[in-house]
Amino acid sequence: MKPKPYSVLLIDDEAELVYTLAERLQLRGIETVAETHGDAALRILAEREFDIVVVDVKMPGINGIDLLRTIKQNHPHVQVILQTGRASEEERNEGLREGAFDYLVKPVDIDNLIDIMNQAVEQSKRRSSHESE
Amino acid sequence: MNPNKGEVYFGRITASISHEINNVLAIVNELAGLQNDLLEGAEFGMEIDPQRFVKISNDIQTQIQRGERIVKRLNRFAHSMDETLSEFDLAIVVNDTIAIAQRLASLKGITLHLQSIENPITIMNNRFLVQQGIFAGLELMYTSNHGNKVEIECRQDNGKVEVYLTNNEWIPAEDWNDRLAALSEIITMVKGQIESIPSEENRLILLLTFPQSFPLESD
Repeated sequence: MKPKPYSVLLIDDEAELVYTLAERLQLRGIETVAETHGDAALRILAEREFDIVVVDVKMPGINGIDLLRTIKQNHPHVQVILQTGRASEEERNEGLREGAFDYLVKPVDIDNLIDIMNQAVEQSKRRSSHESE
Repeated sequence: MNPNKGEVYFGRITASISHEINNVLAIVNELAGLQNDLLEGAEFGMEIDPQRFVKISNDIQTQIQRGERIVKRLNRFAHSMDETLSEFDLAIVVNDTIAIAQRLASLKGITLHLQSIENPITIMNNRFLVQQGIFAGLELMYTSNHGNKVEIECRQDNGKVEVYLTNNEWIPAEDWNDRLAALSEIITMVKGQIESIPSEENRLILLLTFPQSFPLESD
Protein backbone atom coordinates (compact mmCIF):
# COMPACT_ATOMS: atom_id res chain seq x y z
CA MET A 1 0.00 0.00 0.00
CA LYS A 2 1.41 3.38 -1.01
CA PRO A 3 2.03 5.52 2.10
CA LYS A 4 0.07 8.78 2.19
CA PRO A 5 2.47 11.69 2.52
CA TYR A 6 1.03 13.09 5.72
CA SER A 7 0.75 12.38 9.43
CA VAL A 8 -2.32 12.46 11.65
CA LEU A 9 -2.87 12.87 15.37
CA LEU A 10 -6.26 11.50 16.54
CA ILE A 11 -7.68 12.67 19.88
CA ASP A 12 -10.82 11.18 21.44
CA ASP A 13 -11.56 10.16 25.03
CA GLU A 14 -13.27 6.97 23.75
CA ALA A 15 -10.12 4.82 23.77
CA GLU A 16 -11.59 1.90 21.80
CA LEU A 17 -12.78 4.27 19.07
CA VAL A 18 -9.57 6.25 18.68
CA TYR A 19 -7.21 3.25 18.71
CA THR A 20 -9.34 1.28 16.22
CA LEU A 21 -9.61 4.24 13.84
CA ALA A 22 -5.84 4.77 14.14
CA GLU A 23 -5.21 1.13 13.21
CA ARG A 24 -7.51 1.44 10.17
CA LEU A 25 -5.72 4.57 8.96
CA GLN A 26 -2.34 2.88 9.48
CA LEU A 27 -3.54 -0.08 7.38
CA ARG A 28 -4.16 2.48 4.62
CA GLY A 29 -0.59 3.70 4.93
CA ILE A 30 -1.38 6.90 6.85
CA GLU A 31 1.01 7.61 9.69
CA THR A 32 -1.30 7.94 12.71
CA VAL A 33 -0.86 8.51 16.44
CA ALA A 34 -3.84 8.15 18.81
CA GLU A 35 -4.33 9.91 22.15
CA THR A 36 -7.20 9.98 24.64
CA HIS A 37 -6.36 13.17 26.58
CA GLY A 38 -6.12 16.71 25.25
CA ASP A 39 -3.22 17.73 27.50
CA ALA A 40 -1.19 14.65 26.49
CA ALA A 41 -1.95 15.46 22.83
CA LEU A 42 -0.51 18.97 23.29
CA ARG A 43 2.68 17.45 24.73
CA ILE A 44 2.96 15.16 21.68
CA LEU A 45 2.43 18.16 19.37
CA ALA A 46 5.21 20.04 21.15
CA GLU A 47 7.59 17.16 20.49
CA ARG A 48 6.83 16.38 16.86
CA GLU A 49 5.00 17.79 13.87
CA PHE A 50 1.74 16.54 12.41
CA ASP A 51 -0.03 17.66 9.26
CA ILE A 52 -3.52 16.99 10.60
CA VAL A 53 -5.16 16.74 14.02
CA VAL A 54 -8.60 15.10 14.26
CA VAL A 55 -10.14 15.96 17.61
CA ASP A 56 -13.37 15.11 19.43
CA VAL A 57 -15.23 18.22 20.60
CA LYS A 58 -16.60 16.91 23.91
CA MET A 59 -13.79 15.61 26.08
CA PRO A 60 -12.93 15.75 29.79
CA GLY A 61 -10.25 18.29 30.66
CA ILE A 62 -9.38 20.38 27.60
CA ASN A 63 -12.32 20.24 25.21
CA GLY A 64 -11.95 20.09 21.43
CA ILE A 65 -12.63 23.80 20.80
CA ASP A 66 -10.05 24.91 23.39
CA LEU A 67 -7.59 22.41 21.96
CA LEU A 68 -8.24 23.82 18.47
CA ARG A 69 -7.47 27.36 19.71
CA THR A 70 -4.22 26.24 21.37
CA ILE A 71 -3.10 24.26 18.32
CA LYS A 72 -3.86 27.15 15.94
CA GLN A 73 -1.95 29.52 18.21
CA ASN A 74 1.15 27.33 18.57
CA HIS A 75 1.07 25.35 15.31
CA PRO A 76 -0.79 27.50 12.76
CA HIS A 77 0.08 25.24 9.83
CA VAL A 78 -1.56 22.18 11.37
CA GLN A 79 -5.00 21.44 9.92
CA VAL A 80 -7.58 20.60 12.58
CA ILE A 81 -10.72 18.56 11.88
CA LEU A 82 -13.37 18.48 14.61
CA GLN A 83 -15.49 15.40 15.31
CA THR A 84 -18.60 15.33 17.45
CA GLY A 85 -21.24 12.89 18.60
CA ARG A 86 -23.93 15.58 18.45
CA ALA A 87 -24.24 18.05 15.60
CA SER A 88 -24.65 21.65 16.70
CA GLU A 89 -24.76 24.54 14.26
CA GLU A 90 -23.45 26.91 16.93
CA GLU A 91 -20.53 24.63 17.75
CA ARG A 92 -19.81 24.06 14.05
CA ASN A 93 -19.70 27.81 13.39
CA GLU A 94 -17.48 28.41 16.41
CA GLY A 95 -15.10 25.65 15.29
CA LEU A 96 -14.86 26.95 11.73
CA ARG A 97 -14.44 30.52 13.00
CA GLU A 98 -11.54 29.35 15.19
CA GLY A 99 -9.85 27.83 12.15
CA ALA A 100 -11.04 24.22 11.97
CA PHE A 101 -10.89 22.76 8.45
CA ASP A 102 -14.12 20.82 8.89
CA TYR A 103 -16.66 19.61 11.46
CA LEU A 104 -17.77 15.98 11.20
CA VAL A 105 -20.54 14.09 12.98
CA LYS A 106 -19.77 10.59 14.33
CA PRO A 107 -19.87 7.86 13.19
CA VAL A 108 -17.62 9.06 10.37
CA ASP A 109 -17.11 6.92 7.28
CA ILE A 110 -13.36 6.30 6.97
CA ASP A 111 -13.29 7.00 3.22
CA ASN A 112 -15.08 10.29 3.83
CA LEU A 113 -12.57 11.15 6.58
CA ILE A 114 -9.64 10.38 4.26
CA ASP A 115 -11.19 12.53 1.48
CA ILE A 116 -11.47 15.44 3.89
CA MET A 117 -7.93 14.91 5.20
CA ASN A 118 -6.65 14.88 1.60
CA GLN A 119 -8.46 18.18 0.95
CA ALA A 120 -6.98 19.65 4.15
CA VAL A 121 -3.46 18.66 3.11
CA GLU A 122 -4.02 20.09 -0.39
CA GLN A 123 -5.13 23.39 1.15
CA SER A 124 -1.97 23.44 3.32
CA LYS A 125 0.20 22.84 0.29
CA ARG A 126 -1.50 25.66 -1.64
CA ARG A 127 -1.03 28.01 1.31
CA SER A 128 2.65 27.19 1.72
CA SER A 129 3.32 27.60 -2.01
CA HIS A 130 1.59 31.02 -1.88
CA GLU A 131 3.71 31.97 1.14
CA SER A 132 6.93 30.95 -0.59
CA GLU A 133 6.12 32.94 -3.77
CA MET B 1 -42.88 29.28 24.88
CA ASN B 2 -40.25 28.39 27.47
CA PRO B 3 -39.92 24.72 28.43
CA ASN B 4 -40.59 23.90 32.09
CA LYS B 5 -37.86 22.48 34.36
CA GLY B 6 -39.11 18.92 33.92
CA GLU B 7 -38.92 19.23 30.13
CA VAL B 8 -35.42 20.72 30.31
CA TYR B 9 -34.30 17.86 32.57
CA PHE B 10 -35.91 15.26 30.28
CA GLY B 11 -34.11 16.81 27.29
CA ARG B 12 -30.75 16.81 29.05
CA ILE B 13 -31.03 13.18 30.14
CA THR B 14 -32.13 11.88 26.75
CA ALA B 15 -29.45 13.95 24.99
CA SER B 16 -26.78 12.51 27.28
CA ILE B 17 -28.02 8.93 26.81
CA SER B 18 -28.30 9.29 23.02
CA HIS B 19 -24.73 10.62 22.97
CA GLU B 20 -23.59 7.47 24.80
CA ILE B 21 -25.50 5.23 22.36
CA ASN B 22 -23.93 7.11 19.45
CA ASN B 23 -20.46 6.45 20.89
CA VAL B 24 -21.21 2.72 21.12
CA LEU B 25 -22.41 2.69 17.49
CA ALA B 26 -19.32 4.62 16.36
CA ILE B 27 -17.02 2.08 18.07
CA VAL B 28 -18.90 -0.93 16.63
CA ASN B 29 -18.72 0.78 13.22
CA GLU B 30 -14.90 1.07 13.50
CA LEU B 31 -14.42 -2.47 14.84
CA ALA B 32 -16.54 -3.97 12.05
CA GLY B 33 -14.65 -1.79 9.57
CA LEU B 34 -11.33 -3.04 10.95
CA GLN B 35 -12.47 -6.65 10.55
CA ASN B 36 -13.35 -5.88 6.95
CA ASP B 37 -10.02 -4.12 6.35
CA LEU B 38 -8.10 -7.16 7.65
CA LEU B 39 -10.11 -9.55 5.47
CA GLU B 40 -9.55 -7.37 2.41
CA GLY B 41 -5.85 -7.27 3.28
CA ALA B 42 -5.80 -11.08 3.48
CA GLU B 43 -7.13 -11.24 -0.08
CA PHE B 44 -4.01 -9.35 -1.12
CA GLY B 45 -1.74 -11.68 0.83
CA MET B 46 -1.54 -9.86 4.18
CA GLU B 47 -0.90 -12.26 7.02
CA ILE B 48 -3.75 -12.50 9.52
CA ASP B 49 -3.52 -13.52 13.15
CA PRO B 50 -6.76 -15.40 14.07
CA GLN B 51 -6.40 -14.10 17.62
CA ARG B 52 -6.81 -10.57 16.24
CA PHE B 53 -10.28 -11.54 15.01
CA VAL B 54 -11.13 -13.13 18.36
CA LYS B 55 -10.17 -9.88 20.09
CA ILE B 56 -12.22 -7.75 17.67
CA SER B 57 -15.27 -10.02 18.19
CA ASN B 58 -14.87 -9.77 21.96
CA ASP B 59 -14.56 -5.98 21.70
CA ILE B 60 -17.77 -5.81 19.63
CA GLN B 61 -19.57 -7.97 22.22
CA THR B 62 -18.33 -5.72 25.02
CA GLN B 63 -19.73 -2.68 23.20
CA ILE B 64 -23.05 -4.44 22.58
CA GLN B 65 -23.31 -5.24 26.29
CA ARG B 66 -22.49 -1.61 27.06
CA GLY B 67 -25.22 -0.55 24.61
CA GLU B 68 -27.72 -2.91 26.25
CA ARG B 69 -27.02 -1.40 29.67
CA ILE B 70 -27.50 2.12 28.29
CA VAL B 71 -30.77 1.17 26.54
CA LYS B 72 -32.08 -0.49 29.74
CA ARG B 73 -31.30 2.72 31.63
CA LEU B 74 -33.10 4.76 28.97
CA ASN B 75 -36.06 2.40 29.14
CA ARG B 76 -36.29 2.66 32.94
CA PHE B 77 -36.01 6.44 32.67
CA ALA B 78 -38.77 6.61 30.02
CA HIS B 79 -41.09 4.45 32.15
CA SER B 80 -40.42 6.53 35.26
CA MET B 81 -43.23 8.80 34.03
CA ASP B 82 -45.81 6.01 33.72
CA GLU B 83 -47.29 6.50 37.18
CA THR B 84 -47.45 9.48 39.51
CA LEU B 85 -46.86 7.22 42.49
CA SER B 86 -45.21 3.82 42.38
CA GLU B 87 -43.13 1.46 44.47
CA PHE B 88 -39.55 1.21 43.20
CA ASP B 89 -36.00 0.39 44.21
CA LEU B 90 -34.16 3.63 44.98
CA ALA B 91 -30.82 1.79 44.69
CA ILE B 92 -31.50 1.25 40.96
CA VAL B 93 -32.54 4.89 40.52
CA VAL B 94 -29.38 6.12 42.28
CA ASN B 95 -27.17 3.81 40.19
CA ASP B 96 -28.89 4.89 36.95
CA THR B 97 -28.64 8.57 37.84
CA ILE B 98 -24.93 8.29 38.63
CA ALA B 99 -24.32 6.46 35.34
CA ILE B 100 -26.19 9.17 33.39
CA ALA B 101 -24.57 12.08 35.23
CA GLN B 102 -21.08 10.54 35.06
CA ARG B 103 -20.52 11.52 31.42
CA LEU B 104 -21.52 15.13 32.13
CA ALA B 105 -19.42 15.27 35.32
CA SER B 106 -16.39 13.79 33.57
CA LEU B 107 -16.48 16.66 31.05
CA LYS B 108 -15.68 18.83 34.08
CA GLY B 109 -12.99 16.39 35.22
CA ILE B 110 -15.09 15.05 38.09
CA THR B 111 -15.68 11.41 39.00
CA LEU B 112 -18.88 10.33 40.74
CA HIS B 113 -18.15 7.63 43.28
CA LEU B 114 -20.86 5.56 44.94
CA GLN B 115 -19.50 4.71 48.37
CA SER B 116 -22.17 2.40 49.62
CA ILE B 117 -25.78 1.56 48.98
CA GLU B 118 -28.11 -1.02 50.45
CA ASN B 119 -29.92 -3.11 47.91
CA PRO B 120 -32.87 -2.99 47.53
CA ILE B 121 -34.20 0.27 49.00
CA THR B 122 -37.90 0.07 48.33
CA ILE B 123 -39.75 3.36 48.42
CA MET B 124 -43.16 4.62 47.29
CA ASN B 125 -42.95 7.98 45.53
CA ASN B 126 -42.89 9.74 42.18
CA ARG B 127 -39.99 7.99 40.50
CA PHE B 128 -39.43 10.65 37.83
CA LEU B 129 -39.22 13.50 40.36
CA VAL B 130 -37.04 11.53 42.77
CA GLN B 131 -34.54 10.83 39.97
CA GLN B 132 -34.74 14.48 38.85
CA GLY B 133 -33.96 15.55 42.44
CA ILE B 134 -30.93 13.25 42.72
CA PHE B 135 -29.69 14.37 39.29
CA ALA B 136 -30.09 18.06 40.22
CA GLY B 137 -28.28 17.38 43.52
CA LEU B 138 -25.36 15.75 41.72
CA GLU B 139 -25.21 18.64 39.23
CA LEU B 140 -25.15 21.09 42.09
CA MET B 141 -22.11 19.31 43.51
CA TYR B 142 -20.03 19.30 40.33
CA THR B 143 -21.03 22.47 38.50
CA SER B 144 -18.63 24.63 40.49
CA ASN B 145 -15.85 22.89 38.53
CA HIS B 146 -13.79 22.37 41.66
CA GLY B 147 -12.57 19.14 43.17
CA ASN B 148 -12.23 15.92 41.27
CA LYS B 149 -14.69 13.64 43.01
CA VAL B 150 -18.25 13.64 44.32
CA GLU B 151 -19.01 10.83 46.76
CA ILE B 152 -22.49 9.40 47.08
CA GLU B 153 -23.79 7.39 50.00
CA CYS B 154 -27.32 6.10 50.72
CA ARG B 155 -28.68 5.05 54.09
CA GLN B 156 -32.10 3.79 55.24
CA ASP B 157 -33.12 5.14 58.58
CA ASN B 158 -36.44 4.88 60.39
CA GLY B 159 -38.86 5.20 57.48
CA LYS B 160 -36.70 7.50 55.41
CA VAL B 161 -33.83 7.26 52.99
CA GLU B 162 -30.87 9.59 53.17
CA VAL B 163 -28.73 10.33 50.12
CA TYR B 164 -25.45 12.05 51.03
CA LEU B 165 -23.57 13.90 48.30
CA THR B 166 -20.08 15.04 49.29
CA ASN B 167 -17.51 17.20 47.51
CA ASN B 168 -14.30 17.72 49.51
CA GLU B 169 -13.01 20.63 47.40
CA TRP B 170 -16.20 22.47 46.70
CA ILE B 171 -16.53 26.16 45.80
CA PRO B 172 -20.04 27.47 45.07
CA ALA B 173 -20.93 28.15 41.45
CA GLU B 174 -22.25 31.64 40.65
CA ASP B 175 -25.79 30.31 40.25
CA TRP B 176 -25.65 28.16 43.40
CA ASN B 177 -28.63 29.85 45.06
CA ASP B 178 -30.84 29.49 41.96
CA ARG B 179 -29.88 25.86 41.55
CA LEU B 180 -30.44 25.13 45.22
CA ALA B 181 -33.89 26.77 45.04
CA ALA B 182 -34.79 24.66 41.98
CA LEU B 183 -33.63 21.50 43.73
CA SER B 184 -35.53 22.45 46.85
CA GLU B 185 -38.71 22.81 44.76
CA ILE B 186 -38.35 19.26 43.41
CA ILE B 187 -37.54 17.76 46.81
CA THR B 188 -40.58 19.48 48.35
CA MET B 189 -42.81 17.93 45.65
CA VAL B 190 -41.71 14.43 46.70
CA LYS B 191 -42.22 15.32 50.39
CA GLY B 192 -38.51 15.11 51.02
CA GLN B 193 -36.03 17.42 52.66
CA ILE B 194 -32.79 19.04 51.66
CA GLU B 195 -29.99 20.12 53.93
CA SER B 196 -26.53 21.42 53.16
CA ILE B 197 -24.18 20.47 55.95
CA PRO B 198 -21.30 22.89 56.35
CA SER B 199 -18.01 21.26 57.13
CA GLU B 200 -14.35 22.11 57.56
CA GLU B 201 -12.56 23.99 54.77
CA ASN B 202 -14.21 23.53 51.37
CA ARG B 203 -16.03 20.31 52.12
CA LEU B 204 -19.73 20.35 51.35
CA ILE B 205 -22.23 17.63 52.18
CA LEU B 206 -25.66 17.88 50.62
CA LEU B 207 -28.22 15.63 52.28
CA LEU B 208 -31.36 14.67 50.40
CA THR B 209 -33.95 12.86 52.48
CA PHE B 210 -36.86 10.93 50.95
CA PRO B 211 -39.76 9.31 52.85
CA GLN B 212 -39.99 5.56 52.24
CA SER B 213 -43.75 5.79 51.89
CA PHE B 214 -45.34 8.84 50.31
CA PRO B 215 -47.44 10.72 52.89
CA LEU B 216 -50.88 11.38 51.38
CA GLU B 217 -52.82 14.50 52.39
CA SER B 218 -55.19 12.48 54.57
CA ASP B 219 -52.31 10.90 56.55
